[in-house]
Amino acid sequence: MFNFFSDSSRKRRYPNPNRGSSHYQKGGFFGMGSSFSRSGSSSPRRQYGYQPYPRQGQHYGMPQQNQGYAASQSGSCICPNCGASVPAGSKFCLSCGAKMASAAFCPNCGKPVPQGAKFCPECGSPTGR
Amino acid sequence: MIFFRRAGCYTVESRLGGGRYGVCYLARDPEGRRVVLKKFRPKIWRENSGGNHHEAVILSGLDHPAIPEFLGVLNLPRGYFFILEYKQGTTLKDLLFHRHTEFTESMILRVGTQLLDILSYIHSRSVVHGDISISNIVDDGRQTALLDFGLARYTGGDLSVDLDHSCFGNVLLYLLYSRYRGKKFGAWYEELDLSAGKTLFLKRLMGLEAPFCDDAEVKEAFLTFFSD
Ligand SMILES: Nc1ncnc2c1ncn2[C@@H]1O[C@H](COP(=O)(O)OP(=O)(O)O)[C@@H](O)[C@H]1O
Ligand SMILES: [Mg+2]
Ligand SMILES: [Zn+2]
Ligand SMILES: [Zn+2]
Repeated sequence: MFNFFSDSSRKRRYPNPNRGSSHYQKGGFFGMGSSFSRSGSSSPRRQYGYQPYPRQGQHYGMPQQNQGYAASQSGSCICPNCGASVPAGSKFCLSCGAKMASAAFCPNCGKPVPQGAKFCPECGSPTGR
Repeated sequence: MIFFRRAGCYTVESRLGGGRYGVCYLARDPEGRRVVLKKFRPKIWRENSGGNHHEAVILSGLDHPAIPEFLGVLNLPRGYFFILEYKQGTTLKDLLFHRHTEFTESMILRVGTQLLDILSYIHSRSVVHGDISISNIVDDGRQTALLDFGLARYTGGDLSVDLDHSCFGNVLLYLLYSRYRGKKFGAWYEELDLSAGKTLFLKRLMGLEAPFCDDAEVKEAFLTFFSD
């Protein structure tokens, strides 16, 4: 029952809305208090009563996606210290730890903007550079 | 158990806690300031270098007193670390299950209001935390802070803000159950003696009734039903 990577675990990040004291006062397995709802942590009767309201977002992928920096939406830049590729927005090079002076975020939506961009690719706001 | 005392120029003092991706240590920088060293399991760092770049980027773009600042990266032979600002306090999990704290109405009002302020801020910066839980929240009796952006993502991808709303509701239920002494017989809405307003508010957060549109709506309803 503890297959974390099964299809049903795609929705696991939404807490089961039908739990009671047997969960909230004892906690589930693998350490109490994780927001993950795990099979077995609620009473069997309740498991079948799980009828959540339809959600706006449909699919919830695995929390850890195996994409490199280059695949991230706002691209990457090169660390002037070690030459590694650094995801746009990171204040530090993730390889050598050097401070990245070029890190910038959209003043409107808050997402990272690519190096040198005058407008946010996400919301179109001027980046102020 | 601490297996080392020094990491770069940092002096390790104690182990704060462990989780999915490694272990967090309390340490001092050369000036004696407290910082957190978040050590990643080597396997995660090597095989999934795309994984923790989300946390690095997202924390870099946030600036809020109740969110740890991203202070640096340490890539040492003995381990790979993020350096984070230390947020003092005790996790809600330890307050509930080790100190057996009973959360009064006014404590729940304060913690809930502070969490909603943090959520409004991160959502206004297009960030979904994705893992709001009693082990990722610390409280020092005056101020609540939100930790662990390891599963956070920008909106427009896999996560939507109603995930944070549901997890916030789940945290509120933990706090409400801290004073429950009744029998174990069912779901929270059957066991807890809550006002109709509180019940509907929590059902909307948890996805059993129509969800809230935005953080302002959540906050307004929370203040209405949890202030008395
Ligand atoms: N900035 C911080 N300030 C204080 N305590 C922290 C901080 N970051 C982490 N901790 C402690 O370390 C624990 C694990 O850290 P966390 O970032 O949640 O990692 P994980 O992804 O492994 O869950 C937390 O539950 C908390 O007790
Ligand atoms: Mg955590
Ligand atoms: Zn570098
Ligand atoms: Zn923008």
